[in-house]
Amino acid sequence: MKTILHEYNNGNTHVTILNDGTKIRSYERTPNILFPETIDIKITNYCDMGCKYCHEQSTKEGIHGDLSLLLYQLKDLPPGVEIAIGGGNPLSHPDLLFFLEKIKKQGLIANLTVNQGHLKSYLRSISYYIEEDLIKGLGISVTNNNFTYIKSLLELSENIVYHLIAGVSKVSVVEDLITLSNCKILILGYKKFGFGIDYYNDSIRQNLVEWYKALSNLRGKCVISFDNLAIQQLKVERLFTIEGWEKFYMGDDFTFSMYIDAVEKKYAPTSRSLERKSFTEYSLLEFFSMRNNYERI
Amino acid sequence: MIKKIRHNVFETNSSSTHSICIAKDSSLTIPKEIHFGTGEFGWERNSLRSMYSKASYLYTGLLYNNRMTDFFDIVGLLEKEGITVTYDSHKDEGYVDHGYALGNFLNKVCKDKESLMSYLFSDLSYIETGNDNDDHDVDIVVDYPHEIFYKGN
Repeated sequence: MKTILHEYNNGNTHVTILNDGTKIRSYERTPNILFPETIDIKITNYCDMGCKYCHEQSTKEGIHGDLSLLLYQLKDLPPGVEIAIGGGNPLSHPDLLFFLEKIKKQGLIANLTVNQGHLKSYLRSISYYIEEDLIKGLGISVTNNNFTYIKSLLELSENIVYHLIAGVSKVSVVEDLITLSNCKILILGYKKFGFGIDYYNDSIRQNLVEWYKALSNLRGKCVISFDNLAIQQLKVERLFTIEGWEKFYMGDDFTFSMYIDAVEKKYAPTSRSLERKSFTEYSLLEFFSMRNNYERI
Repeated sequence: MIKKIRHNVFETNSSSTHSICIAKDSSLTIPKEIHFGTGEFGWERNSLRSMYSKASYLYTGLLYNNRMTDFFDIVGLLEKEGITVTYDSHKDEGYVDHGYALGNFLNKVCKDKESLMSYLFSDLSYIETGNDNDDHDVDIVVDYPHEIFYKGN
């Protein structure tokens, strides 16, 4: 049954978030908000997966962010704001549990994104985070067709989203994923950033074409969502009526969202932004208030 | 009151933090009726994706090139498909920048029923307008499957 998880006012907008992740944003005329609705946070640059296209350039030499310092930056955010925690491998951070407990106490909604390749090693930790209600949404970057551990987690949560990268992931994996219960897929654009610059090649371009062609046929099969980059690269707007687009398009990057690199202790509009500001220069809310002076990315 | 809705997913995006959701069926969507209006299609960069705007671009292009016979053939073809067709009678109001260069495009959709239906009713079909003077920064350029009708200017 759907229940209200959080409701809050943000400037002239009213936001309601339901327990299945549904977010309803209401406002008159133009939204004028004071704080971000969602923040994408990189808590570590350590990762042993070795993905050649990793736009965060995470490696085994990567270091962890200072999560106590990060909590201080988040202190002014009210309950209901969503925090998308990623890395690197966020599960490798020794202070992750401490961090999740603190932001739960603050009323923030923690969502965690992990790589499918880490599920076996960290299954107990992830299960604990779900069972203790420390995370609401779990994003899994799908890298293979072995869904054994995903099925275990599906017994604990209905809020699992499978992340696929246009340009990298095979389109055919969708047919496998929709056999899982309550299938939700997030299609991400290819980030020509970090390692993704040198890795960009003809096979990625060809894969983008495959995704472009496949999108129409995926509709109705499961919940499918996109990030802004995928919307741009796959021309997603063509799939919507004008009315549908106006209702469902949640806004450009750095309109309601922002990015924090807790390793480098910097704010940015998105994880692909070159221009970043240090924690020591601005508070989080000061940085977010500068968004009208940034060029859209 | 304006409402924006994100259905059924929490924000787990570890990159650009935003999602929209599609949850409806689609393929070639054949409507019960279609209206061909005239329009102004200048040199500004634009993307025509709706059935109405694509129909308008086609109709205005045919008018510009005095190809009303072809237009009535299209009307007949669509009516055979069970589609009710209406069109603007004020034929002098539309404009297509460099419309004389639309020949290949018009020939294709007028003579090939499959191309016509795909052009009007497939969400994979769209028209990009613009001109050679644009400095349009595109991060990734992919040649998606479509037929290119280069109009010259």
